[in-house]
Amino acid sequence: MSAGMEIGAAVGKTIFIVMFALSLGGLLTWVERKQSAVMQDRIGANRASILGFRVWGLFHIIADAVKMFTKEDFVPDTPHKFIHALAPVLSIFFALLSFAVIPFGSSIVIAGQSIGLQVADVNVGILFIFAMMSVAVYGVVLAGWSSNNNYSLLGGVRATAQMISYEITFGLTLVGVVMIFQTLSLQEIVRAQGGVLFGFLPMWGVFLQPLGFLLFMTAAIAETKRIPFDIPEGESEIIGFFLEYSSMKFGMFMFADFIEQILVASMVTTFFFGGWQVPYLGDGGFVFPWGSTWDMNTWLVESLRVISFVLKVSFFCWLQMLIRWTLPRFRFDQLMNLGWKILLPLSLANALVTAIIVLWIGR
Amino acid sequence: MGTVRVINVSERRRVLTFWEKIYLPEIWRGLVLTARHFSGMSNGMRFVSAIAAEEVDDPNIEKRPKVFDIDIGRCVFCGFCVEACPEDAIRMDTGITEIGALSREGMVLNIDTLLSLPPKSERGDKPVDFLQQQLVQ
Repeated sequence: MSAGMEIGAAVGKTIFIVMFALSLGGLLTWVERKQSAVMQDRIGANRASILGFRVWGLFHIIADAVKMFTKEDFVPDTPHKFIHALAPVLSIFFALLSFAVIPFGSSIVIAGQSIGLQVADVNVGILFIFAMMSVAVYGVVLAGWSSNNNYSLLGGVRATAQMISYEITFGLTLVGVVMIFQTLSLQEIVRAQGGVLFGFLPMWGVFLQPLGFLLFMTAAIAETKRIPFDIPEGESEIIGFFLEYSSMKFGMFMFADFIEQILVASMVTTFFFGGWQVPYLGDGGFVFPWGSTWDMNTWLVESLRVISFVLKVSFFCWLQMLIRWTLPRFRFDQLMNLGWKILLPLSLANALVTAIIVLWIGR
Repeated sequence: MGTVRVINVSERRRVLTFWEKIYLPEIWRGLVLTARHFSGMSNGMRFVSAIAAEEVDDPNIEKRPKVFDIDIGRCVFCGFCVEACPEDAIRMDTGITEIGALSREGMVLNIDTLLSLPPKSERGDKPVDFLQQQLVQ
């Protein structure tokens, strides 16, 4: 592949995935309001209008952006003004960076060159995501520390405790997935999920690791710091690590939350719901378990796969919103109990049982 | 004055079953409940019916209610029943604001309790304490 084309493909893929994350993140600010409204039998966001058009309150996204950018950017009296400004950037930067290894499609062929639909097909994709999500806690903790405010500091410390506690479960649940698919590359994991179990069931991670999926989902929601795990924010008690932030700096924290939510949805999709796989869709078209086939153009197959990925991610964003607006929040001791006494032993047991079964079958 | 019953609150804590303890089925039920709002299976506005009434079925006497329960525990104080009542039998300007009770059953005010109230002209602005009445019984 020529160098120019390689760079062009990389830039194109990067723009696609960043635009996907950012636009879905923007949309989620609206979804959050509208969905809560629907669930609580309210009308919801419907006030922002342009020339009388309201389009179900979609203009609230623009209104929010305008508001965030034009508000006064108040910086508290703190000796760490640079770190104070850096923290939200770190928060959103590492959340966005994780998308580099998420595969959103198989591969397309342009001018005889095969281009994998993933920004960076690194063979340690899972480790990369974990690294990025661990570093993301620095944004939160630095925000709490540099704000020169006790409530902020408390929020930052709580965030650290929570994220470190759940990071362990988060990683251990994926050990099962890694053992089954024998790879750390996300693209390889998704490809391996294209098979069929018992002749009809798509070989998705959720069918191979049902307990792993539940544990992963729980730990992942805890990682996003949203209700029911919003201890670092604790709106009713300490307001949280972003207490001293205003204007778009605060907006970036909010946005990082939504981006992380999309990231979690992408990860759940990738590890447990077949990523871009469409059930029974092979490279040449559909091959149904009852024997019939449906041949398709390569481009059509690829488009279906990308659409499948986007739809799955959207569904899991919706599900996270549903959980967020259904459950009340945990107390801090309940959170720690759940993390260390329930999720951690269960994830260890899950890894152990998976290891035994994998060894048994591989023998 | 009668005696005041002392209730040990801790005795009333319900013991959770195994399935309730592992949360997941309950969380699932909660999610189903909230998700139903998207499909329209839960139709938006809902009446909070706090009043149950039944009339005496003897045709020879003047119609009057046999049962007239107001469940304060369910009432959301929307005031629709007050507006709808043709006989002005339900009021919200009674000045009775004490609605404490020791049990869910105690929140249901039946026809006898309601009729036992002295008219406003007699009791003046003095509030009526239903909780006090229950304790005295």
